[in-house]
Amino acid sequence: MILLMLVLMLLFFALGTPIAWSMALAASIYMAFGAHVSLQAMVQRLIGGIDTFPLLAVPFFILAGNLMNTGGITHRLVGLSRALIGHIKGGLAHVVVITNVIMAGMSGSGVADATGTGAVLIPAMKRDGYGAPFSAAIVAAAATIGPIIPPSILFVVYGSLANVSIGRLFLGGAIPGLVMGVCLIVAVYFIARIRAYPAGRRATIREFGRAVLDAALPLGMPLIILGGIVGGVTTPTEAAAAGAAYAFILGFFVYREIKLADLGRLIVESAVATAAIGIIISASQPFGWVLAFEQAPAAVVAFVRELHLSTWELLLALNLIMLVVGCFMEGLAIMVMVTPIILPLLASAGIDPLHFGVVFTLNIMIGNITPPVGMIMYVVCALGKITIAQFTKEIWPFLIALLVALGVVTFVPIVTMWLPDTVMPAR
Amino acid sequence: MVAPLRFVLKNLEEVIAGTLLVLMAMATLLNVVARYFFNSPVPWADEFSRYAFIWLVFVGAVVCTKQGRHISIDLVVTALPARIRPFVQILADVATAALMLIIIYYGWILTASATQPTSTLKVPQYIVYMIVPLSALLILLRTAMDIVRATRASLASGARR
Repeated sequence: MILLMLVLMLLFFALGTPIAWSMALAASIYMAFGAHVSLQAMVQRLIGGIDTFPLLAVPFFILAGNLMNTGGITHRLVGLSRALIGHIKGGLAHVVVITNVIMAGMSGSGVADATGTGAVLIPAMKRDGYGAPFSAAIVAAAATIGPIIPPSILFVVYGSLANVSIGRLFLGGAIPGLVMGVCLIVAVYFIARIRAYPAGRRATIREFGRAVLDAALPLGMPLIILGGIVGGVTTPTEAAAAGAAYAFILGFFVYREIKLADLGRLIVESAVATAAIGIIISASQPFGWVLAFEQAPAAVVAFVRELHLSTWELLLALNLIMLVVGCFMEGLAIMVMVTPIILPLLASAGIDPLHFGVVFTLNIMIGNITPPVGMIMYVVCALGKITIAQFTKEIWPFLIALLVALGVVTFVPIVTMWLPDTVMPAR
Repeated sequence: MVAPLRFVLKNLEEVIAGTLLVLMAMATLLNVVARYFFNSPVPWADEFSRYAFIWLVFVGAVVCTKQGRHISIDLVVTALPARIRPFVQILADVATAALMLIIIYYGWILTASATQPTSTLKVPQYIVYMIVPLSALLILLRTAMDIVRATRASLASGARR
């Protein structure tokens, strides 16, 4: 019966029925005919699944990201990165990586980062002769850092599904995100040497000072968000709201780049993007109920125990499965379906759910830039006006770089655990 | 005066979703400021934001249907020959419509029975729940319109052959 439910769900997926409805409908069919419970319980779970305070951080982070991209914050960060690193070979490609690392400390969404940095940097790179496919590829690869370095929408979702402290998850992502940045910088360095990409002019002291001054106010954003959470002043949700308010004040009152007419559109856009994510989380709850009713998590634990895998082999296997599935499926959908099944497995294998959350999210982000399905890939292909085939030809060196980072984060847990254990030890 | 009114009515779901987002953010910020600077937290703020979020997600789901922005997998559909795509589209819509009927029926029962007041706002629980069958109804209507449109299109293309 549970297999029938899964087959039905995949069938609905294939028909193109929205992922949320596919999950809820398959679960309803099981609940009515397999478990013989009233479907009132299904509706109750739809509501219960999104009735949690931590999830409220999601809309606020989405809003903050949109406000930053419209409000002139993004291009000030680009200016700062350019002054920092623009003068070395392949300058603008390095600028893409550094800008995304800084952006990642303010925004929680890879798609928002790709949209914001891509809109500014892909045209600039094209002008400097990098070619659209390469430019789009490096923007996509760098944007995957966004949800790893705090704040992060995916960490909020994972934290509320897995009952892991969102503050600790945020800290856990910081060093892995920097590792990703370093791996990408190395990849860019070699490609730039082979292809003799141009270097920008070195910024004068005066220009450098100007760029730092320009970016000073936006750089207050990570302080507000992380400082609030780590200092125990605010919950992650409140910190997200404060971040959105700060981005609004900068964009509307200080830089005056957000016009009143844009504001309504921007808010509605954020609300709709929130709903697209929220409805999937909501619909995953009846699905999770069915899995629990069938004792699927225990069955998975028993099955894996039979295989006698070491922790490392298990982590490797999980990574491979997630990478393959991630090529074809939307990351958030994978996260809401897999997390309830996998938590007991982690406990029995002695893997910290915080460590796994970072590994999981990194996998999902890689899935976002691997064809044929990937939100970030779609965004940069549209921005660079290139096809997915052109994108695929240029993305692979960066994929290798990110896989190296994934390997480090997966097999050296201390990279993830050190910062949260030092700054915010678990109680 | 008429033009803005017409705009609001035409984009009612969008306006409601956007307003809810702003209200949620304001309630949350108000709570931080009141607690941190005045040492007197606003007791209803968290509950209000939580319920506004439920409304936001379900009203927003209607907008997603309206604008075709639900996250779905189009990998299989785009690989199919153009001739049979409308039929697959109809099947996909029928699945959506079936779920909406379930949500409307059982959501209505749930809403009608939820009369107990919420913990701090003291409003009846059905105020929160009623958005679920309501938005399912709106999605059902839009999906039904889609089915009619797709049926017409496939009939028309059939007649041409």
